[in-house]
Amino acid sequence: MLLASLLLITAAGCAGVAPASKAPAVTVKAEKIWARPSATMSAMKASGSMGMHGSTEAKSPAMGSATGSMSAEAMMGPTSAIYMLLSNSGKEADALVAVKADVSEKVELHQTTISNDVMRMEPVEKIEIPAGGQVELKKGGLHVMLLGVKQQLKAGDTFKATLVFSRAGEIPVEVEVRDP
Amino acid sequence: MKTWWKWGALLAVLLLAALAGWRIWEVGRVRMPAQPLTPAEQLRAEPQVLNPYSAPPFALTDHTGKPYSFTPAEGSDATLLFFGYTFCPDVCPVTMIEYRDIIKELGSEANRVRFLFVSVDPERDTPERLKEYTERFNPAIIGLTGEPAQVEAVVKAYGVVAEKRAVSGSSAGYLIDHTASILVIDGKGRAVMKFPFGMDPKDSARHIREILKKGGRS
Repeated sequence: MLLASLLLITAAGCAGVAPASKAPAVTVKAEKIWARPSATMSAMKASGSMGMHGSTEAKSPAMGSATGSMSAEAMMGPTSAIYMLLSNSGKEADALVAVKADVSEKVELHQTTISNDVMRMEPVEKIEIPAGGQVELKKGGLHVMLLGVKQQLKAGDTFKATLVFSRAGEIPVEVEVRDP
Repeated sequence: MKTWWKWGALLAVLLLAALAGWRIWEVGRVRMPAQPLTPAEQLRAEPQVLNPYSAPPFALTDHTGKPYSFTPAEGSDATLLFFGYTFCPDVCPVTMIEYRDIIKELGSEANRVRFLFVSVDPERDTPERLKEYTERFNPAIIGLTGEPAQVEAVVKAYGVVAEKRAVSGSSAGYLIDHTASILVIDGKGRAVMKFPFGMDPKDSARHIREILKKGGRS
C-alpha cells in the first residue's frame, strides 16, 4: 500500500515537470486551422521610388536599414498568418514550439498585443497549452506568421504544414486558406 | 513499539494518499489558458468620441502611383483613416476586412466616404505593393505611401504612433508598432471619433451613418 501511494505520487508529481522518458500518447489536438490569403509575389518584388506611375519594372528589393544576413524574401516578401485552436486533453502541459511549412521562407510564432491603442507584434519562443486546457491562435493575438510566402495563397487553397510540440512531437496538418 | 510502528505507517500512507489525490485533482483540473487577453477582449468595442479638431491636410502618393492630396473638408462627407503596413499579417488585414465590411454595410452610402490606408512602412510599401494589398480587400480603399520624410510628417501631424523596431529572433528584419484604431473625420474636416481595433463593422457603419446624417461638407 505504501509502495502504491509512493508510485501514485511519483506519477502525479511528474506532470509538467519531468521530460517524457518514453513516447507519450498524443494528447494535443489542432482544430479550425486556417490562414489568410497572401499577396502575389510580383507585387511584392516590385520595388522602387515613388511616382513610378505603375511601372512593372521589377528591381531587387532595396533596404535602407541594416539587417545583415536576413533573407530578402522573408523580409520583403508577402506575409500571412495561420490561426488555430489548440487543445490538450492530457495531464501534462505541452507547447507548440515551431511550425514547418514549405509555402514560405520562414515560419515564426508571434503575438500581437495592443495597449494604449498601439499595436505591437513580438515573436514568441513557444505557445504553452496547459494540461486539460485550450489556447486559441486568433486575430489580434497569437498567430503563426508566414514570412516570404512563395506562392500566392488564395481563398479555397489548402497547404500542408507540420506543427512541432515539445512533448507530442510533430503533427502534420492541412491549412485552409480563407477570406474571413 | 510494534503498535507505534503500525500507526505511524498507516498515518504516513493516509497522508501520502491524500497528497496524491490532491495532485491528481490539481493536474487533471481544467485550467484556463494562461494567455493574455486579446485586443478585442481588452477594448470595449465602442467608439471613442473625440473633442473635435481640424484634421491636418497632407500630400502623399496613392496606390496607383499618382500624387494624392488629402483635404479633409473637401471631397467626401466622411473619411476613415488608418495607419498600418502591408507586411503586418494580423491587425492590418483585420482592419482592412473591417473597411471591406463597413463598405458592404453602408451600401450606396459608402460612396460618400473615403477609406484611407496610410503606410507607416514606406521602405517596403511601394504603390504597387499597396495596390495589390488594398484591392484585395476592396478597390474603394485608397492606399497611401510616400518618401519616408513625407510619411513621418503625416504621422506627426496626426499624433499617431509608428515606431520601427528591429526584432531579434525574427526574420522580419523590423516590425513597426503603430496606432491600432481608425480615425473618423467628418464632412467638415474635423476628427470626431476613433474606432478601436476589433469593433463590429455593423456598429462602425451605424456611427458613420450618424455622421453622414449630421450633414456633409461645409
